[in-house]
Amino acid sequence: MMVLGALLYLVTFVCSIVILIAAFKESVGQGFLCLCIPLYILYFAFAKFEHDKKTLILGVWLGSGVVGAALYGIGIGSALSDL
Amino acid sequence: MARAFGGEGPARLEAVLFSRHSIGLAQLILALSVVLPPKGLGITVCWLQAISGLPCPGCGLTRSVTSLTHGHLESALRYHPFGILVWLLAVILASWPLWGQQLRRRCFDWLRRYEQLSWRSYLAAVYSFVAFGTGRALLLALERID
Repeated sequence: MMVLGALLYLVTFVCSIVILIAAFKESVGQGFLCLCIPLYILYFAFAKFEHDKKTLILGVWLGSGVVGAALYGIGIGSALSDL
Repeated sequence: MARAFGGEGPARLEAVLFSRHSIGLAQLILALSVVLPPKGLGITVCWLQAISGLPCPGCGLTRSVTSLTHGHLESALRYHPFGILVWLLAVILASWPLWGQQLRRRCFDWLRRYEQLSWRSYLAAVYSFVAFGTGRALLLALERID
């Protein structure tokens, strides 16, 4: 569970990097806003991010993030209950 | 502004760097770096670190910039090596409205003359920053697995 969660985290991380690089290409300010302000990257991704495969990237990014967090949480929970 | 992402060709670096938002943000960053303690507030605003415990590419940047403003070069490098670059960029952008008309025009002329070179240098800096952040996160993740 935890390994799968970690793998999904990796996918989320890669998608975040793609969006972050796009933000820096839009403007240096947008890039730093995505880095420094929590959840600004969400706003940028939906409102300003432009890519041929935007839907796919956003879908994978959010989907793997949510499922990864859930699996990781379940994994940690079951590991703690085993102790 | 021409968008670089999606194959429309490189955007002009002057538009990417010297937008009103970027200048305002640079001024805010420098002002905060004077007020904030160099060691940080002890809280994280990074959602990636909050969820996974791993640092994102920008983690440590605020402390690095704050340390530089307070004159602590060594700790700035320890927190984030790209802090120096960000600090220099923030100083240039924050002081941009104070630059004389002639100096600004000369700077824009230079950026236009060497557009490809300056754009590639900017992209190289962005990719190196991201590569550093990714490498650091992966190393920490591997350390935890061990």
